[in-house]
Amino acid sequence: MNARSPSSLASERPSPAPSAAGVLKAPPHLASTFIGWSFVLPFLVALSMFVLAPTAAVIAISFTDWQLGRDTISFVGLENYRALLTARVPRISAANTIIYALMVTPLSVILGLWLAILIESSPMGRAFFRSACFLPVVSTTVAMAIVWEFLLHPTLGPVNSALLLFGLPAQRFLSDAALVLPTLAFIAIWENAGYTMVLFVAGLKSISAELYDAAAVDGADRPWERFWTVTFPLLGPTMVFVVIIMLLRSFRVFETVATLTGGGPRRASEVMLYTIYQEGFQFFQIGYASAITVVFVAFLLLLTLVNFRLMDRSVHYK
Amino acid sequence: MAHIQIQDLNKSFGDTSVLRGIDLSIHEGEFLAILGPSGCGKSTLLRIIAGLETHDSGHVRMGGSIMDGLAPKARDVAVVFQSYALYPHMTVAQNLALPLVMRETTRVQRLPFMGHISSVVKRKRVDIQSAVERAAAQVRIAELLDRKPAQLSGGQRQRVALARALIRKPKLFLLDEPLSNLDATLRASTRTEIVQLQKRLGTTAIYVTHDQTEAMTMADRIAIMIDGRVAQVGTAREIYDRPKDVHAALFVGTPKMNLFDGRIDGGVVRLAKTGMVLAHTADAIDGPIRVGIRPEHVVLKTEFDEGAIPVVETHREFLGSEALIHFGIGGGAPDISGVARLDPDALDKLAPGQTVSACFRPGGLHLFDQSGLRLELSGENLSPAATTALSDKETALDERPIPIIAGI
Repeated sequence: MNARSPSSLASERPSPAPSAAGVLKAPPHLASTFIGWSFVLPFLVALSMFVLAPTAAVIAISFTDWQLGRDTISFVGLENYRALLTARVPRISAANTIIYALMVTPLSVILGLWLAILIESSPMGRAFFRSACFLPVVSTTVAMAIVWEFLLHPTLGPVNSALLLFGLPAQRFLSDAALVLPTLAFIAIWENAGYTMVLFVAGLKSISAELYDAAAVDGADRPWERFWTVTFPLLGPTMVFVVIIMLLRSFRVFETVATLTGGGPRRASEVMLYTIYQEGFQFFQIGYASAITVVFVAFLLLLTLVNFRLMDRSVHYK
Repeated sequence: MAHIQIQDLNKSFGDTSVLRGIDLSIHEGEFLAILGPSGCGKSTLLRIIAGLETHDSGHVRMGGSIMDGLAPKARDVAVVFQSYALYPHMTVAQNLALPLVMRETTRVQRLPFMGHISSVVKRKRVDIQSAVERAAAQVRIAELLDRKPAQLSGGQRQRVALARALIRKPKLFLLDEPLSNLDATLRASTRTEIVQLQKRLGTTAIYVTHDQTEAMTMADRIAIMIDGRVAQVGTAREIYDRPKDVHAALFVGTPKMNLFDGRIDGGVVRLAKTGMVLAHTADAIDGPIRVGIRPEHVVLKTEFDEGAIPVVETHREFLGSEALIHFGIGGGAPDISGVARLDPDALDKLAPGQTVSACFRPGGLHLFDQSGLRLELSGENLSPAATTALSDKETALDERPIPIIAGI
């Protein structure tokens, strides 16, 4: 915050004189400083209470052996981090999360972009298709997960009935170790595509129609040429945002895992957030869970920064 | 370079009819301005010629062949858009190269690294590169080739847009208000530059604008478009001196032509309000008409001659090389008003609020019928008041020093 300019403006006035009633007022520059702070303070309080303090607490706790419900706490140094390096579950969990994110992010982005272009180029029903695609985003993930559980049920689910109808073998989507991650990824893509679609629609709308005209006159008028000459490059800034949001969202996957698989079968759908939740709130190893959290957050931060740097270079902003 | 012919062109968007039977012929190498107020359909006409918009009926011919339904790239036209429409993610060089790349290389040849694999592609790329440099030199942006559009000023972007249009030597240039985003000084210099460039290349050009100064200074001929119709086509001089209809008359000229209600009674043309006799005609058409007179054809004098109208100055504007007097006719609350253009020195001889006499110069009268079309009357189309009043003091239009108070 820079309170200097208002205060310097105010200090040009003559020094404060006692008012007629004889009551001394605060000097004007103090008053404007106070006003400045009073605007910023609520945000600073909320930021420290809900972001900075908990982050600091988690980092601090990660160096202790604290267990949920225990009165004693002692400093163990890097012990939790050492345990993390050698433990099996966090490693499986990290691998699963990365595989899951690598499936979900690109497909959500491509599907959302495809839907956005399709909807924007359709002569009618745009509002309907937009809302229809956006519905999964506004519905509660847990509720949707339960619907998916029914749809994918090995014996009762309509998906398997459809497979049987076409003479294909029924699948145990959520209890087959080879299928469970792709199935969860599919549900996430179904949910995310509406979100990325809405962002891409906004991006598409900001592209000037004259650019497409110019491209048509210059000879780039086939759909694919229009896409590569105008649409894709001009969606660059949107693309950076969408990719980063989708990466973070897919790294944060929790609801579907907790509702549908509980990390199973045989840890095939164990993901980072679920591991942290289990270690912390089911096994009460808060110190250990905090250490995993710190590593996880640091990784996400690094990923976002690298991403920004890489994509920023090839993107033009107006 | 081509001769463009537009025949009975119609276009409507839903219920709104935008173009109604446009007929227009543009000679080879000509610079034609389409001038009209916003919403008159001039941009739509340009887009139809470019192939960016379809028309409902009629034909567009270019060099004899019908263009209807052809894609823009098949028409060999180049467009300079109002917003310039440069590709913001490409450098100036890439922007200029794109039309050539799209035209002269196949999809396979456009793939990355093809320049290293195929010598044909390599040669083509070298050719395109030198064409880019030539085009950039023509509009003096050679030092900007590596920049992106965002790093350029408005005038520089405009040049890039011009270079992109001329790089592939099209048959026809279409310019859609290309100067409207520039500041006044730059606009004036760019005007000359565009005309010189067009004359040097000899390419036919159609220039859409709502700015009469641009149209009058740049174009060989002007087509005035009003409400989806071509009101008049002609040189700036023809349109200014003999406007074919009242809309064209009002649209060209600053300040606007004065327009009064008049009538013809038994061969006498009069002002409806005052009954002042303006002209005599041999034609037997009676009825109400509209009388137009350009501000420079109004003469204000301090002496009252027979037939002159007493007018009161309501407002004056000093513009340096000229002065404008706004006047009212008819006593306290004037219900007819007009403008006269004067020599600035004449202002001193006229006291503000003074009642003076107004008469009209010979040959300055424009008569329009009730539907707005120009009336060509045979006989003396002269203002008798003006003839008598002017005969002894001034006879030629270019006699600037005028004894009392006078127009230009």
